[in-house]
Amino acid sequence: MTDLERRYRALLRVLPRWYRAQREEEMVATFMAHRRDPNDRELGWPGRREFWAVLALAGSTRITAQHGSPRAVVLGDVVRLAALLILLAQVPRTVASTADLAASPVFVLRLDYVYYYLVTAAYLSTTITLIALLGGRPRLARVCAAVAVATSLVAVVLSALPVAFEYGLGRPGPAVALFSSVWVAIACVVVGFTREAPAPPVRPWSLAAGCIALLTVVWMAIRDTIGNGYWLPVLGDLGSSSGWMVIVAAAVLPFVGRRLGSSVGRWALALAIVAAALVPDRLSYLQIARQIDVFDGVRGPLVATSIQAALLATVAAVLGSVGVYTYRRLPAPATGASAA
Amino acid sequence: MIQRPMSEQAFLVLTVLAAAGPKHGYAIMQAAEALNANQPALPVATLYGLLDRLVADELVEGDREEIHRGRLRRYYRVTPAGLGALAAEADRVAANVRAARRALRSTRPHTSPSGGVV
Repeated sequence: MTDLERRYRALLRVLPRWYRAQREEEMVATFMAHRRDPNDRELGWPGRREFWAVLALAGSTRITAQHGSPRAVVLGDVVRLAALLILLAQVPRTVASTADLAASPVFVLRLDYVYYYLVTAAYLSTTITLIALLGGRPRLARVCAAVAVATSLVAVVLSALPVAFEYGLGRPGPAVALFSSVWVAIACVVVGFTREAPAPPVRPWSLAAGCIALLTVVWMAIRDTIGNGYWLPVLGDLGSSSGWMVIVAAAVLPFVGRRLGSSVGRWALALAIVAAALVPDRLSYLQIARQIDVFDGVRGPLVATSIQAALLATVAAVLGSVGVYTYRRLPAPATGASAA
Repeated sequence: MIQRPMSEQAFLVLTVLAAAGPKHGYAIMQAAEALNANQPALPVATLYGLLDRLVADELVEGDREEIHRGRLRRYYRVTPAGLGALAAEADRVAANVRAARRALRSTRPHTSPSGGVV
């Protein structure tokens, strides 16, 4: 065995075992037939294009849209569902931050304002990503997803600047926690919504996004007129505590499950991902909630945020266990070599 | 689900298999590279991912296996459904080419003094 073949076989180890059992010898034969130069065979490496192609194949054999093992198809469904749910969970933030931005028409070139503009741009990009996916425009969705990642990363970098503290931005930790769910969603979009992925059903997702946006607008309209009870911060944090949507979704899961039938495992896994993605944000918010004034002796924001974080973690653990149990009951791919 | 056009790579592989009968992976790579002269060869992993999808779609099927110089060669052939899909895609591409040629004939481009089209 030459060094090149050894290196290629080492690269192929990123593929699932069942796939290697079926394809490894054939792929190695084809690869080595293409690299005939004796020097290349001894000293060469697989090459950048081949490297990325093998990584892409490793992903598509584990998470796929239509073809492949039942487990890979289920994981594909889970990832797409998680992407849509997390993007949906960003809608209140998009509405709230965009409305606040629209209400302050003057552009201010100051660090804290620029940070806020970037945050708004990141959230807005996630919602346009959702709209693009529902509109059957996956390429546009990926562009918007890239914009969301870029703007959020720049915002994190800004919050890490030494002068950021003077503008009330604090450390980058909260910013990272704030965007963690966005990054998980974008990763799910990139992995799940490939060329072959089926377009999601437009009506239910549009309806859900519309209702959430409407509720956010209504809340923003009435939040200043209904007083300052100690409970207000609990609800007033609606924009960033969209993890409640997950709790509600998890609560209705058993009822929805009657209609979903065999899809319960997929929903459970997807919701577990969503809940886990939102936990860092809630944990980070505990620091802020601790500093908010006490109303009537009750630390409303602190208690509410703690409950939210605990519930999200519980939902992630319980639904994750249910989902993994269901997933493991699916037939595993055969590892024996067979003709295609 | 939205019906998307066939990818260029799938089109090439089906064309190669339709033109010359059953072929193994490396032969498909070579023929596709020759057909698509300006492009580098498909990476091996891309080719096998593509073959997996074409087999799953029943457009291509396994033909036979051989051991050549101690290495496994698995041959693939295009199915009747694959020929149908290739014909439909060829018609679609041909219609696009005709439309483009009509558009080019009707534009009557002006030529710059340096010979370029403006």
